[in-house]
Amino acid sequence: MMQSPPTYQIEVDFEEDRLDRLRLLLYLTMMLSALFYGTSLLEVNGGIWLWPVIFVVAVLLLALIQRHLTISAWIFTLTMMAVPIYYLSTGELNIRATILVLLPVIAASLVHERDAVLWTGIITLIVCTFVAIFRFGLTETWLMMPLPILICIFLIVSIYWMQQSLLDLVHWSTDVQQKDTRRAELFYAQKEQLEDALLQLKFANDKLERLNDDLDAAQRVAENASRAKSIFLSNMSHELRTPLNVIIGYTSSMLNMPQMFDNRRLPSAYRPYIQLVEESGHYLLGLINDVLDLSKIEAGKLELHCSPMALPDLMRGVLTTSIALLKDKKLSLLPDFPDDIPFVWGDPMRVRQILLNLMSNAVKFTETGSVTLAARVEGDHVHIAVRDTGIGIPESVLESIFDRFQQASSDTDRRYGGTGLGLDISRRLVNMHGGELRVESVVNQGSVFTFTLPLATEAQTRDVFGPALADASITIFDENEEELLQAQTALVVEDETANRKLACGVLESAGFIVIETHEGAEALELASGLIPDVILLDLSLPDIDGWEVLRRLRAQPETQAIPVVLFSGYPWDSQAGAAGAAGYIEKPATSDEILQGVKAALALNVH
Amino acid sequence: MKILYLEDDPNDAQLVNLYVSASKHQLIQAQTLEEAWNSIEQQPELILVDVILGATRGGVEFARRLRERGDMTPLIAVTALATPADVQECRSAGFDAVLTKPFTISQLAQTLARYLPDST
Repeated sequence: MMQSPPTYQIEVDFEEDRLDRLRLLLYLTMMLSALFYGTSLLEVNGGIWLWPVIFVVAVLLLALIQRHLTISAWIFTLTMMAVPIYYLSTGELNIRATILVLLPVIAASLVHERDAVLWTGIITLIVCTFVAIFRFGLTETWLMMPLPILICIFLIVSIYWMQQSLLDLVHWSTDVQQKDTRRAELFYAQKEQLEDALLQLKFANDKLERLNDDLDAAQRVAENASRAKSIFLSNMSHELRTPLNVIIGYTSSMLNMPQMFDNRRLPSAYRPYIQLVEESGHYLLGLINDVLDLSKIEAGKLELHCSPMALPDLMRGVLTTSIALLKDKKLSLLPDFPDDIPFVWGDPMRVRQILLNLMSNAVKFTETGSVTLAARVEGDHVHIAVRDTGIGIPESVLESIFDRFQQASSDTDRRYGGTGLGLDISRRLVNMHGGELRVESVVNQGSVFTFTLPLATEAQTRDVFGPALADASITIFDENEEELLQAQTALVVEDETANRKLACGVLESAGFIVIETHEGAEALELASGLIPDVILLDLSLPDIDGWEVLRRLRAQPETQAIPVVLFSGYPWDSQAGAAGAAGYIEKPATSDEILQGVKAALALNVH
Repeated sequence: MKILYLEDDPNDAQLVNLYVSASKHQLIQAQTLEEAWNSIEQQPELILVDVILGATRGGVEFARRLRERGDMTPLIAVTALATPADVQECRSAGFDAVLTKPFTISQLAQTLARYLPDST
């Protein structure tokens, strides 16, 4: 701790009024003394000795006051001169007279008035000399009498001078010494303070260093722990994914790629079970991804890839996917949203994840009735709700259901399974989108989970197809991918405006010349007229069915070589390959999925 | 055209082999780094590499050395490593893409299609 250095102050405080009064008193005393002295000169007796003593006391008083000393000294000395003159005039020059001569000089010297002393001495000498000459003539006495006075005066003056310079010297040295002492004191005080401060600093520094060491150690421990955790997660994920690849890879091959197995189709009796294996594989993969997501969110490493999204498409896709969750349950999955919801701003993959989590939850805890996926625009937000008619959640545990590994009770835990990670992840993902996941519930009547997503702004919509979205399984580092496909023509056949816009935007930004239509009949005309390099075909068109469009495209010689990528709200349909489709994109698709699907179809077509 | 696949897991190797064979390409399989380096002489046009070979990340080393030799053959990591740090490691080692296990057959098809545009 630092202290402010001490300040040394010399305060001068003259009490002027009191001093003036004292001075007046002194002058009066002096005048009276002079008067008495003058009259007493006439009678030569012992009384005369009293007065010089009074004067000396007065002068000493005066000296104490130290003011207007010149004038007082003059008055005193001139008055006192009368004594030696008197003695000289009477011829009684002796020791007594000499002492009297000295008195004013001593008095004056005591008050440090050198001018007064000097002049008193000189004038006394001159007056005494003249008086002596006048009285005795130029005789022996003249020569003898003033001499002792002269010697005395010179002695006094020299003593005075010596004393004065001595005093000066003493004053000066005292002054210097005092100043030095003060400086030294100050210096030592400051030195001590500095030393104190230095000590404190050292102490603080030691403490900081210790703290720093502790922090370093703690950080190392934390880093080690974090690294160990990362390595563990990475290894665990690797070990879980490896067998899953066999499950998912082979089942998806068996279901969709008969050409890998000498063109032998999977017997239909096995098909549902192989599908079950694949679904379970995907479910397991979902769990692994959930755990990884959660640790990524916790480490602040999960990034959103936001873009404008056509929410109705995404929600239809979620409803379609949720059908698989129903298994044998007789539940209605109901859409409750208008088709004209403007683009919302969010990460499509993550929004889909949130919705699927909520839908899966709702289906899991609902035995009869319905699960409704609703959305409506409110101001600059879209309000999204998942409503079910299930068992509901008791109010006492309404908040804790968002905590991971928590379900409403350990009983439900056993009955319904699941890790309880879904809601925790969903809540965090909603938060990352700037919203809040809320729940309302009535036991045995159902629950409603709600959250909001912001509508995309003008600027965001204009910049729709910037960075390609990352696919969960495929990561491409090549950043100049559009070079591969220069100025190719794509025909987009899609009746839903949002999806058509999305597909057109993706393909345009990838360098395609894009022609769009929303009708099957027009698509056939355009295809045979323009011969595009690739066709993206929606299966549910208002006029002609997508399958029929595909069949006619394949039937015409000029269009039969054009690769057609099916764009469908339903999962992979095994008849697509047989019908001559070059690719299949399941809605809702990210911009990357669309681009990858189209490019894959083009690439396949070359060989 | 020739595709080299360095993979020590026979199940994954077989899956890719089935697909590649069905799509009229030739798959050269290598189980160890040594076999892979020997197979490089057959000049594959696409190389798939599993990152974890045995207990080490031999695939990363393979990619690094291949790129150091100036060989710019398209290189795809086929790995069950999935954390962003792992993907980043693959990127800096010189891989062009990462196909994360588990993958569906259509994801494999899409990835291969992307790097086999000029085959006949």
